[in-house]
Amino acid sequence: MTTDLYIQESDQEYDVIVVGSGITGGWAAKEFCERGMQTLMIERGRVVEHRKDYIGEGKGPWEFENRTKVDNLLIEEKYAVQKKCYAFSDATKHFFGNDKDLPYTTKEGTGFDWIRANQLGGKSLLWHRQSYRLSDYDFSANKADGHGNDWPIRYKDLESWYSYVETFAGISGSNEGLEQLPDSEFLPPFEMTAPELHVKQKIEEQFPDRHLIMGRTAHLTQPTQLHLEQGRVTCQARNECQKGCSFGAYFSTQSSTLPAAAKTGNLSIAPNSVVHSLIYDEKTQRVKGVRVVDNDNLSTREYFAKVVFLCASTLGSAQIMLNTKTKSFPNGIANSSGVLGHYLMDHNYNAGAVGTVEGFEDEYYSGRRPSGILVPNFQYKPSLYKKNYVRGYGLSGGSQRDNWQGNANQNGIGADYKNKLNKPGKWSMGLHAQGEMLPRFDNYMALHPTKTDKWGIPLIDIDCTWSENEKLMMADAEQTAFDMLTKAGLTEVKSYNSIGENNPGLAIHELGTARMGRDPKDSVLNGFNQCHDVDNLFVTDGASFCSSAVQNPSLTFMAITVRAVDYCVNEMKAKRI
Amino acid sequence: MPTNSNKTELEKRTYDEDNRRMFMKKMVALFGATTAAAVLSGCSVPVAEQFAAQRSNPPKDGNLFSEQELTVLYSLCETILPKTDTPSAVEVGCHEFVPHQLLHCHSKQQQDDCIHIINTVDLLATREFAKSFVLLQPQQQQQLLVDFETNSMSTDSEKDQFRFLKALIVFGYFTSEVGVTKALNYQPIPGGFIGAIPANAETKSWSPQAYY
Repeated sequence: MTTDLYIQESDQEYDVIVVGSGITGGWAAKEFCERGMQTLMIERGRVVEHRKDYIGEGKGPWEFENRTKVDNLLIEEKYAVQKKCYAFSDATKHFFGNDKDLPYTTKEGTGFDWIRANQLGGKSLLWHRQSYRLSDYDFSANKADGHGNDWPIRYKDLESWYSYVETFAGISGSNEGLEQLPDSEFLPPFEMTAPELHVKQKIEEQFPDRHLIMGRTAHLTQPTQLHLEQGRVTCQARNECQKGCSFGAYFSTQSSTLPAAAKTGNLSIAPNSVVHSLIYDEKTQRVKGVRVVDNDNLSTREYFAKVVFLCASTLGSAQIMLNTKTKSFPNGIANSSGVLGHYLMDHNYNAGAVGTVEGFEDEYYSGRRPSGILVPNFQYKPSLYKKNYVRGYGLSGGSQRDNWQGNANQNGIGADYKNKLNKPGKWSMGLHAQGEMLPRFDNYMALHPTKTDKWGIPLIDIDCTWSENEKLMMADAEQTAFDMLTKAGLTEVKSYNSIGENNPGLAIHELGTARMGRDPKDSVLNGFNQCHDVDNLFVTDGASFCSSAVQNPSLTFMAITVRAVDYCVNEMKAKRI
Repeated sequence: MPTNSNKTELEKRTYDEDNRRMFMKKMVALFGATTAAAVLSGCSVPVAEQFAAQRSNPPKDGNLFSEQELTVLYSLCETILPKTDTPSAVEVGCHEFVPHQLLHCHSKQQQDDCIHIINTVDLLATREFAKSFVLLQPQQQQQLLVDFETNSMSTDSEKDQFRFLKALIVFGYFTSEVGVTKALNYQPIPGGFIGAIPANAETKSWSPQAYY
């Protein structure tokens, strides 16, 4: 990567501007560049160079002043929200946003935990890497039960694009032939432990509708030539991914799409460029570019292009659109429907159970597997719904032998206690619900009427709560996880339901603020992620989702993005854009 | 921050007679001349000397604990995780780690709980044996803590407070360089994941952890 990749001022009219550099922006830039388009990627944060800037990688806990914990004062000052993310530590905190500089508000009596990653690569550096296709049941769910609007696309529209991105990104997993969770183009799956194989057998015997499979994850278990050419090698099973991975073993913008885009010579990147709003031409009814405020010195500048792709995250993209107020669009660009900012969703990770698997004392594992197991959703169509709520949930989990961390609280003093702490203890295994959240108009983000951030952009004001459906689902999921583990023979099974304690947001799967749809009256985007109201404006991140399904959404971000780019390039060539 | 194992080595080297005299002074102030002399002439001399060496540096974390509380904490570390085929909690610096970590990463409540439980244990020692916890024989120290943790000598909330402090000492131990690389089976780059390998009673747990 050369330094002239990065630009600051430019009068050039690019073919396309891609706002954002995370999973979605990285893919959009790569595809446009490879199709010969002069592409400007705009990133609000700093540059993070692959390998060089992974400053927490490869360090032992003793090399951190507080043994990887973050100092109270620093948390209070900068990371009051970010600290709630499981991956937040002294070894990763530099990849999380600074809550002090990035304020947002929530309506009184509500809360939303918004995890940020404002740097080149965005959340692709921090993601959990679980990668699943949506099925036709997911794309049909809204139509089938009447919640939300109908997705304008179906599985067949995305199928080949899923294959395309999977082959390049590298997804490990096992072929299962499940109708609710289509198989991907797989690298070999990670192995299960002996207790997991045992529990799998027990659960599948006693619950014929349920399957226990290895999690599907964007890790190179066996890289292909295509991956080696990207400079990526086999996953070493450190499971310290969020520190950054110099092996390039998990998919990120830095490891995969960015070098591919840069190699074409068609890519420019404008870092430290906070997009304030879009520049709209009332005459042509098209966007001409973006207005940017410098992240550091707050000076302003503009960039121009024939097409703009918003890949700035579900809340970020909608914020830019809402802040683009024009004569034709006084309530935000491409918002003639009035749904922009509405139907905000996350996933609901708030119930589950954990127990002890007796025996297997002569069994252990080697390495830190960067994936758990999954019980795919078994309530994936109306005929399978429970009586008192709609939709379903998957169950993720895994097994491990207890170690000093779990055993420290047991009774014991002295040499025997110390010797016991050195040794692996009992096997424990958990199942944790990943529930669908319904799309509801009442869950929304808007621009704050008076408060602005340091770049002069109105704060996002969020009103998002769990509905009765989500609460009933978690109550059921808690009981179900308990029953499954108990019937599989686990002992000391304990269940939990934390929906009363946790705000939406912490699954870090924000979705739905600029949804797709067939009808311009009730949706922002068409089936190709193109704004109904503005032909040369696209939104391909999670904002475009009509429903959340239960699957981790990132693989679908990738697939809809490359599909949208393909459509856009063809439209540009046909002079329709 | 230098690693704790390095610090121990360094401080062992810099130990001298001045430190010994300073420690004697502190012990006299805390426990009176007779018991101080008894400690320094008895089997706990090497322990006492090492402690003096480490205390000769001014505490860098303010004054969360008094001198006496620090002395008790030192003995708690030594008693809970003593030297075996791997170094003791004191040898990897847990008695310094605990005040540091409490101050920087824990709540006021947790700090107060730890101060309270340290004093409670010491008070109990004084009640049972008419001596500070620090001055008990190692066997007495161990028995006292076993009793404290398991029987009616302590309340439920005191048991919780004690377990919290104990877990913090254990955390300090197994996140130290010695704890990670020597006490456990160190595997910084596993090279891949294998779902099933044989284990027996001698098998050690892997380290490091992905998340702490």
